Amino acid sequence: MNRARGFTLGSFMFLLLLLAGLTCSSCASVRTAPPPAETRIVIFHFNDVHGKIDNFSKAAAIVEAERQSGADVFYFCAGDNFTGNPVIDQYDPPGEPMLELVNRLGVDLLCPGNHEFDYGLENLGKFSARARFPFVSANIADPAGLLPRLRPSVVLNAKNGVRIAVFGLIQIEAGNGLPSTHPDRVKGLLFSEPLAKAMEMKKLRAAGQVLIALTHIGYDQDLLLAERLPELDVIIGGHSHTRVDPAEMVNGVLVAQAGSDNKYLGRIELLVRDGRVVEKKGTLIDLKGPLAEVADVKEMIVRFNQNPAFARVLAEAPFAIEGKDALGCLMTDAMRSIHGLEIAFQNEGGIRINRLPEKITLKDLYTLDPFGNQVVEIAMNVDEIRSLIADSFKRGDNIDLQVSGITYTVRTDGKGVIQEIHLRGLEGRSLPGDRTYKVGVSSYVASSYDFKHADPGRSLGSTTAEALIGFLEKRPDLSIYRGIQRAFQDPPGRGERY
Amino acid sequence: MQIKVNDKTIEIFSGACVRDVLRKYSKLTWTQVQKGSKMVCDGHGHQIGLDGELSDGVRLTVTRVRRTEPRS
Repeated sequence: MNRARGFTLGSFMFLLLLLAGLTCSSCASVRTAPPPAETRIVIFHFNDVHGKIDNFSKAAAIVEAERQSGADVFYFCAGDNFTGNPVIDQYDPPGEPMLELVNRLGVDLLCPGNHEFDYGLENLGKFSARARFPFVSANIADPAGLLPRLRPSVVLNAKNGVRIAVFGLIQIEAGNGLPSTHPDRVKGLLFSEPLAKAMEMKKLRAAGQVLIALTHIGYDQDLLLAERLPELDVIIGGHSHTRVDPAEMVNGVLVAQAGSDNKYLGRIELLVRDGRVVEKKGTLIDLKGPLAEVADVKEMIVRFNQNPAFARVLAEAPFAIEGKDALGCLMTDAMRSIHGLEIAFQNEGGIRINRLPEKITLKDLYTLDPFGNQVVEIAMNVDEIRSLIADSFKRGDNIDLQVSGITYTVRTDGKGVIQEIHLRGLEGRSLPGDRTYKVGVSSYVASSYDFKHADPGRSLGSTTAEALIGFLEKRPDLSIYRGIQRAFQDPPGRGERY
Repeated sequence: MQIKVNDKTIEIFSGACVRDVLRKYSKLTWTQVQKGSKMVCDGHGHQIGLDGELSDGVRLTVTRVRRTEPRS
């Protein structure tokens, strides 16, 4: 269902020059018949699915019913298909189900979001090469051709000779000028400021009767774009997970976004008359509850959800790793090792099982750590580390945080009141108090625990479970985790540990 | 980065998403949002997902979910 002409702005300008150089009579010979008075166009859209594939069979039924009704139907994706569902993220190759599904669904265009890069540029390049539709993003330059189907803009052919010009935009961070993913994953691509680039794209107005920005810059930025570029007919956005229902009219531009996680399918209807859009509206279709489903798409979803990669053995330990101390030490060692941290903490509530078997599978890991918490790095001094440990201890008058990089002892008065928290380095001596340390915690701990830290910290863009997978794939010595303990209470607490 | 939730400024790590900020804002509010009695909207009144990525200066409001009462 891909009707993109691969028609970039450059090729359009070339065509204009070519036509300008011809005589009037030859001009007349290439001129096409004017489009009929009225053309009705329906554009379906989704964004920020993040691997939540289950509702695609319902969306497919809605889109196919519209196509069969004779309407002129297009289907756009405003980015962030990956990251957020281990079934998709851990597929071999990663994200493969999304590729097969969007190809089957007949998606016409995709604007890459920051999470499209999460599996690495090489993987996205393969995805792009096998996609049956172009990627559009005007503020990504790809001098090495790493994403074979990336275009700044595309002109789509609708019925009755109506042309729809679409350009894409991706968000970049104010700090490093890159999309919100690990910088290594976008090496080789060049990014420019999206709204500035959008101003250059207004030339596309001449390329079609309809001009659309397909963006992944967030709703606030979409509103700014609408204010600055009234030449646009529609902005279809993503990134901020905003549920805009109905689509908003801002400065004469229809601004749409379909929430997140495949909960909604966006539907935009345009009426083109005498070469311009005269009516436009957008609504969201709620995909919750019983709706018609396309059988073969449903079968694909069922198959993908039985991801065989989950049975893959990641590592073999000489014994089952048992107990919260041992499992917490393993998890924090993983965080520290994968992210180059000096100290890492893991809260006990985030350790969801008490035993990992000798043959550790991917499924075991996601049972151990199912929450999808990000690793957050915070620069902390010794007092701040003590403040974190103190808050964790007060939550249950017991040891809560497992640790890597140091050991610690919480000395109490025997009634649970903390007298002292003693931190020791790996060599057993007291931790020097004259510097800060690169400390890793889960996003849950960073946001839920009440502790002093002058540095607000930063997400490292991957989950604690992913750190564990990466660590086990490095084949560490797992024999150290028998009876291991790094966090102590003096005098001993409830008795289950000591 | 700083996020405003119901006019209270929350300082949180960069890269935080909506759920992180809510946890830091109020345990009670976070529980209510999880249970579905409250929802999170952006500064324009549109509902946003809990995994929505935030940037510095964003404003959020937490409001009660209005339910349509069944007619007797």
